[in-house]
Amino acid sequence: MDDVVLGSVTEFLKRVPPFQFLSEEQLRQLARRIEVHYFPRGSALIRRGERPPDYLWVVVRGGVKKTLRSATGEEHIFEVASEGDLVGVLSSVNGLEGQLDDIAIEDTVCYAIPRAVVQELIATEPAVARFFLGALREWVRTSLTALERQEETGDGSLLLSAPCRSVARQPLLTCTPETSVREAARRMSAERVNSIVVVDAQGVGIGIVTDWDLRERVIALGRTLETPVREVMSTPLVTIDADQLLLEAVRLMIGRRINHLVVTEEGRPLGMLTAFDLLVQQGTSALFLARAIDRETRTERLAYVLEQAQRQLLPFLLSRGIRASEIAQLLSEVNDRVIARVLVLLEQELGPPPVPYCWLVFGSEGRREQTIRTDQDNGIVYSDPPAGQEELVRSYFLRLGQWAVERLVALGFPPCPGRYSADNPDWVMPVDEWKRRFRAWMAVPEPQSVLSSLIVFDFRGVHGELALATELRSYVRQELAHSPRFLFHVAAISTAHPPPLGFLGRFVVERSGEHKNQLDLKIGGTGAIVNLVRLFALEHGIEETNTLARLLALREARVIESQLADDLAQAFEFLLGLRVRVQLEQLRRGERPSNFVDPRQLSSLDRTLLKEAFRVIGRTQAVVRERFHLEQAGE
Amino acid sequence: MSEQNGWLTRLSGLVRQLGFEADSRRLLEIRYTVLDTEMTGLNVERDELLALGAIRMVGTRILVSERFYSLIRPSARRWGASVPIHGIRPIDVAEAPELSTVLPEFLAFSAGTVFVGHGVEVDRLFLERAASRQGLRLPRALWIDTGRVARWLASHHGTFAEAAADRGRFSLEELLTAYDIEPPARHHALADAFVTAQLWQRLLSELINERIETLRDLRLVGLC
Repeated sequence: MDDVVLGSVTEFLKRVPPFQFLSEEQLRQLARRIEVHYFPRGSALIRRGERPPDYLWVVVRGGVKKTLRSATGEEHIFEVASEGDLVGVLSSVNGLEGQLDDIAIEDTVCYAIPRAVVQELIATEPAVARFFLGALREWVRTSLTALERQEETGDGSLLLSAPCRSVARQPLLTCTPETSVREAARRMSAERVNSIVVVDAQGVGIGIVTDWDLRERVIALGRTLETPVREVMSTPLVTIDADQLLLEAVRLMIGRRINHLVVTEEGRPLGMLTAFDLLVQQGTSALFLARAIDRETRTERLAYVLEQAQRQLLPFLLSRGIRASEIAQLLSEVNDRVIARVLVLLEQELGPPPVPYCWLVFGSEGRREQTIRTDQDNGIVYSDPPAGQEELVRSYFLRLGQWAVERLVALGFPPCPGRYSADNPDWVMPVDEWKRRFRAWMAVPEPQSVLSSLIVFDFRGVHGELALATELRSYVRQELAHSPRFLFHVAAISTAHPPPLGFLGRFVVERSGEHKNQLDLKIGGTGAIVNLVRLFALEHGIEETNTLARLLALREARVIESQLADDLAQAFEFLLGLRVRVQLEQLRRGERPSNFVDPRQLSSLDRTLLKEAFRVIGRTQAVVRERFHLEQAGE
Repeated sequence: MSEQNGWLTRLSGLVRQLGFEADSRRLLEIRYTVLDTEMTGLNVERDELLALGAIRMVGTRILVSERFYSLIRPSARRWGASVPIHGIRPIDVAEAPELSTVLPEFLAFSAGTVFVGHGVEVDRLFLERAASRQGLRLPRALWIDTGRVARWLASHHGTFAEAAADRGRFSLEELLTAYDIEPPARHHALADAFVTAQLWQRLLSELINERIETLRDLRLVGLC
């Protein structure tokens, strides 16, 4: 019985994703099973914390705001769903209880699709499933809502800060290297898992066979099913200790571009952790993001992904109690992926590079300490070109640098005001020239070159031939060993800015100007610690660039006594976190993020900790001054 | 105050005399059959049903899965005057089932529900007449007229004089415009039932705001 009602419902739904993927007949079947709901202005479709609603709603008329009230009673509106938008996706797809308050902002009519129907569509229509499970929109929503829920309940199962043990699936399916593909596949399907771990005679995991391996390395290559798994397995087996945080697992999966991790306990395989497990656990945010980056073939679209990372992932993780330094590392994985993606796309446009090269990032990017994207500091090192080819090769990389920087700017990585970027020929050089530059800096230290070196010496290879970066790194280490005069200058600069803490432990704030009554969290704060720790690291040949990693290495090498190392690490962590919180607040208010904060607007706890952090910095600077026989700076 | 109480007591006494039980069923939980009919004309003695459309509601939820629609082949052959209104020509119903088939199906569809329609009195009269022609009786049921409800709500909001003065404002057409409801088609029994259902969603919400929450409440203010 076809009729006007079904017709009008179908007509509407066929314009709405994901239903537009359905055939006319499927749409008609769907339309037959919907309900029409009406929500007067101010009424709730979903209430936070209440049991999952029985429907997925498509807004036909009106609008629905998705909001949360913070502890202070302030309302945050995450999104407004209007005609053609969906409400209740999370609940209908994942069966989660209400995550946000979804309130009609005007009299609203919705088509309501019963949850069972949604589930059925997901099970039978891959396009619909992809839309629901993979769409970035959902990623955002998932992240935000999971965060809020856990913040509320305060339970210990915060996904990313829970140990891998809590999610690892057991028991682990294992086989020997000689097992046939046929047998391995049979056991995988019997156990309904998509991977099997290959272990040697001692029970040590040596590789893994996943559905992907079977498809790509057996079926696609036409191999027989009697092939032993050792010939098709993926190696090495990537493992993670059961006590490591899931955050670490996510980072590993992103970094290695894998979906399976074997969770080990004291070296023995304990269970399997898959990207899907994380998905189920709502911890997919970062993974989804990484996948989205790898899928994007157009640079512009990456901007959206990055925007999400900054706007959503960062506050999300921060409010979950994840440390700022860890968030920064996670975001640097994301940024690295974007940079690599941009370069891969450019290599396709410009043709393959004439010689191997490595994309370097400097400064906070090099240290993996960037949270809010500030500016891009980068350069290119390439293999020494064959004789006669120098100019040709140089012009290729100059163009690559120029274009890459432009694209990154378009993606929201602000240009570097100091021009420490790969669109500046000064930072696009063959290995040999880099070394000469470094040697010159160290031999004849001048204020400008020492300043440059501070930024550049935190370099890290991101894309291309990473060995080139490693080569430069060990060169720096060797040269520094006999450049005491250079280190003296580094020490002078590193202690030039005392923390803004005055007589009797009062904060020293700006007396006038744009930042009147505010103090700088960077110059005498995070920046001061970075400088001090870098000084020690350079002096003692430590190749790490990340401040906390440097501190750990310095502590283990007994260069810095453990108490001071811990104090510095805590001070750094606190300052970094405070800075991010302040900047997020500035962004939220539509201001440009700065490093300034008015201490009177901080909580008393933050003020106390801030003073404590500044005191640690002051103490360390005093130690350095004494060691290098420097005069007290300033004042 | 006491006068008003007296009025209410008398009214509820009257209601009981009329044979209705005190009904505490909640308006937001009741199953409704929202219906519309098309006829050969408006004379209940002479004219006949041409089409019957209905859709189910449970509270404010409209269930698209539960629809009823049928054209009906009347015994008369000519109804030229009403064709421009509903667009149903004799040839359109030449193959349609007769009332004797359609009516029992409709009664099964609507069994145990409360009827809702716009100007539903006319629909009720035609259905009763049709039933009696078949030797059937419509089961006793409650009938809610969305037109009257809208008028009552308007008067309750202090615009009774206006409401009384301008009955045209409460035509289905006007109300759909006022409530921003888009009709998929007009003067089609199912389409009209569908938009009437959407109108009832809104009126129902407004009734709840006025603390009219049960059938008894609705009856006390004379709306069913």
